[in-house]
Amino acid sequence: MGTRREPEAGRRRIKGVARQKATGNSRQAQRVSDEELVRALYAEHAAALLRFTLRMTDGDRQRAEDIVQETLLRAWLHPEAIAERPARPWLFAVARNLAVDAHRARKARPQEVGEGALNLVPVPDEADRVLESWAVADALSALRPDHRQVLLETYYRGRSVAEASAVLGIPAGTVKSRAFYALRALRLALEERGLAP
Amino acid sequence: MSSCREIRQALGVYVLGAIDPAERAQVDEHLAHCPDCREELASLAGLPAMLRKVPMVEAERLAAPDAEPDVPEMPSEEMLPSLVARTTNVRRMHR
Repeated sequence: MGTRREPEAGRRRIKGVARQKATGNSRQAQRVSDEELVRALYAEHAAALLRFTLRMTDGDRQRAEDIVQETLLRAWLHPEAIAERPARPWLFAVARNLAVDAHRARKARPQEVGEGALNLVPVPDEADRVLESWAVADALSALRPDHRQVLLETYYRGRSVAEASAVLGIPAGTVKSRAFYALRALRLALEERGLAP
Repeated sequence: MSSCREIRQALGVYVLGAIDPAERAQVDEHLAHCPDCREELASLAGLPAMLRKVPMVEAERLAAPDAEPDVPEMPSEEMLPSLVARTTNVRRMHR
C-alpha cells in the first residue's frame, strides 16, 4: 500500500483519528485527538477549499476564509459524515451551502442599496445558479491544461474533430481520446465538488 | 464493424457535438446493440449541460496557456490556531 497517493494516505489518517475521537475515554486523549483531527482536516483540505470559496465569493478573501473555517469546524463536529467515504464532496457541499447562505444574507440586508432596485426582487435561484457556475469553473480549472484546451475547442468553440485537430496541431484520433478522458476527468472533478451531472 | 474500445473513445466528441456525421452514424449503429457502450454514454451525457453553466469567456480564460499557473492559495496564518481554539471552546461548552 506504500504506493498510494497522498490524498489516500490523508484520508486514512483522518479516519483513524475520527475513530480515536469517537472512542477516546480520557479528557486528555479527547483534547489531543480533537486537535489532531482538526489539524489533519486543515492540512488535507484547507487549501483546496479556499481555492473553491475564493471563486464562490468572487475573490473576497475574508469571506472565503470564514467559509473554509466554518466548513472544517463542521467536519470536525461531524466526523461520521466523512469517515467512511471521500471527504471532498461533503466538504465542498457544506462550503457551497455556507456561501449561498452568506450571499443571500448579504442580499437581504436592507442597507446595501447600492446595487439598485433589483435587490428588492427575491431571486433565490440566482445565487444557486451563479455559485454552481463557479463550482463548475473550479472543476474545469482542476483539469490538465490539454484537457481544458480540447473542451474549449470542441464544446465552447464548436469545432469539429478535424478543425480541432488542425487548431491544436494533434491527430484527429488524439482529439477524440483526449476529449473522452477530459470528460471523465471533469466528471470526477464535479463529483469531488458534490456536483453530480 | 467497430470495437467497443474505438466507439468509447469517440463518445467524448459524440456528446460534445464535435464528431463528424459519418462517424456519428457508426457510433449510433454500435450503440443500438451494445448496452455497455450505452452505459458509458449515459455516464458522459450530462456533462455538456454542466459545461453550459460556465460562460465562454470564463472557459477561454481558464484554457489560456498563461492562465493562472495553479498556485495553491494558502489560508492565512491565523486560520489553524483559530480553528483549534474554536474546537477547544466547543468541547468546553458541551461538557
